[in-house]
Amino acid sequence: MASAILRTEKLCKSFSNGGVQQHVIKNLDLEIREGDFTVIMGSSGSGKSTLLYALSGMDKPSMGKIRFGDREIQDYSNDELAVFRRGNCGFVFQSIYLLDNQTVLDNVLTGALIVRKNSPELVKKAKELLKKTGLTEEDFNKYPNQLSGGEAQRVGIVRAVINDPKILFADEPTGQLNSASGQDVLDIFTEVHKNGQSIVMVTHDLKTALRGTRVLYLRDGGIVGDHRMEVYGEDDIKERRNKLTLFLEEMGW
Amino acid sequence: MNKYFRTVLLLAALYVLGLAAVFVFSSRPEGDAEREQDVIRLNEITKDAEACWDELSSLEGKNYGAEFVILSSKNDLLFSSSSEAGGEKLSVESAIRKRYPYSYVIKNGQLAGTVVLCDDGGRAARRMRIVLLAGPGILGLLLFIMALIYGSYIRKRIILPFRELKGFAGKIAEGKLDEPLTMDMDNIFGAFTESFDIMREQLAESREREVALQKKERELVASLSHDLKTPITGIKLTTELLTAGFNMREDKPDTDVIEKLDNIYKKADQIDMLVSDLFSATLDDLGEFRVSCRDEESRILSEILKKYDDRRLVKASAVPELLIRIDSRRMSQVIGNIIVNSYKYANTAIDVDYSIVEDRLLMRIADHGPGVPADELGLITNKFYRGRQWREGSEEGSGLGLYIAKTLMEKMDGDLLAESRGEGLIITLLIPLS
Repeated sequence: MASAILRTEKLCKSFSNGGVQQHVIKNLDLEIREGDFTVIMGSSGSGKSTLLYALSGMDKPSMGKIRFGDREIQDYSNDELAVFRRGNCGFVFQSIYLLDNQTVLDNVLTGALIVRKNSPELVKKAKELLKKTGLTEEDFNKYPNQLSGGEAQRVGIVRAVINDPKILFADEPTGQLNSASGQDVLDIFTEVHKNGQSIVMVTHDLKTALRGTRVLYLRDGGIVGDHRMEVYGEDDIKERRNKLTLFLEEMGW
Repeated sequence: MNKYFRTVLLLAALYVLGLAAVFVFSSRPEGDAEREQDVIRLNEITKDAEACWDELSSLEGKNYGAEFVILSSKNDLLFSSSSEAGGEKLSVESAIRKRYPYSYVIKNGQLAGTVVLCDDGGRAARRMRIVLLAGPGILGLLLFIMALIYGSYIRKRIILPFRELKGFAGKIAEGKLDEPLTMDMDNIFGAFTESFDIMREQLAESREREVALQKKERELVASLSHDLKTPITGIKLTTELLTAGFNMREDKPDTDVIEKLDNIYKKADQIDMLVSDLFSATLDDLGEFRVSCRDEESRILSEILKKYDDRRLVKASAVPELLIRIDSRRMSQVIGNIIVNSYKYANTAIDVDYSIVEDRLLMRIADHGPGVPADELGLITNKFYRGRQWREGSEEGSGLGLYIAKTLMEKMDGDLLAESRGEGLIITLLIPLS
């Protein structure tokens, strides 16, 4: 059994809404294991995104503990969190947030340069990764507005993984893409995961969830279902789908 | 009401359309006939004029049914059938412009002059028709406008107040008795309105009375059933004593009497249970045990402790930070009861610590007083139960504190456990997590 890379203890996240405390995440105990492709599902308002942001150190929890490897990050200051995130977490968002005035290659390198010195190897690595996602040499010098949504999201993924993060976090990465380019982007996630990358992804799409090895179902700020899908391969896709559908139906999806 | 307006407007539109149709269809063929008439007249005049071109005055006195003028080829007036017609200077061009029918007089193959028919009979007739149609048209439209005005008057004065009354009645039926009916006194229903509002006030008042009465009734039942407990306990104790006494008679135990005593005891016990049920039912009714749980941060527990600990005896460890699902008001009641109990019977330091077991937060409240004997532990959370050594004591108490605390904890989906090991009483609250 792979070791736990991320663990929460009684994690709570509350927002104050006009003087009324809204508890979005409630006493959540969770363990993310190394090498897992964890998918978080749940109806809207169940706290999926809030959980993702708390797990990834983008947002501070109200109560409880988050242990990332051997470090407890719940009491980190914002600056400490930023440094921590840079070294350990990669992010892919639904809105891709590329820098408009930088080329594809520069977009990928900007994040990496804060962590490491500019080096020919880094550029080489960026180019390799970009090529793997299906982008060509001539795309490297394009600007984001010259890319399609699917292409931009590929750049987003490369930017997220260039630092070899311990966990890659993704919040509905195919939410704004048409289904064809959505599948292409998911293929890249699968590829990245096969190379040993731990992934935590929020989605409400069944097809996307099928890519995972573990599906957590969130309701009312707590995990109510934990479905493991070890089987991985084209032949079993039907069975995977049936089991997942069954699980989700049971959860009242 | 809108239907009414729509119908009136529709009828008005139909009426206007009908008038227009009458105008269009009646004027066109008649106009054409009129035109034909004009052409015949014109031809007649032209023929006569050609016949007596040199003696045009001979045309005077002849009636062609229309006014006409005869112009020379140089536009000079040669003849006019009426003296007024000559008033305006007429030429062939102006005649054409005015659309007067005209015809050329040919004399010896030469253009000698022009006959112009001045009397535009067709046009006059059409004008006449317009006047004739305008009469009923304006009259009809006036009627429709009146219908609209009357309709809106009815709507404002009768239908709208009625509708308001309807809504008001609906509200009363729903039981909303605190909204008064506002309506100006000068509308037709003014008097009605007032009585309706009086009715509402009366209803509200009587309901208030009813609620108060019910509450009083329940309180009476609660206190009565409480009072009943004492004599019943007396009966039970006496019966027990008597049974023991008869049993102890060595010569011959009077089985008949013992059986009867046993019966008395059983019946008394039955009454006891019924009264207990009655009591808890009335307490329930009075809302004593109603809980509504919400997510609360666990630190609320230490705040509650601080609030009730006026003798500063509580030593509490840190609360694990998490969310618990409780009714904070009820939780205060529970903790308050426990602390007051401890003050009353132990008055020692109170240690509070916490632990998490599965989906419960355990709050352990321990004092260092005399504790409770093992055989009484299960009883102290019963209703009206007071520790044996305290019954004759001077301390006041209803024996309800821990009972209420336990009931409330159960209602909050938690529990209250009591234990005592040699020293002190330990109350553990099982508080559900969110």
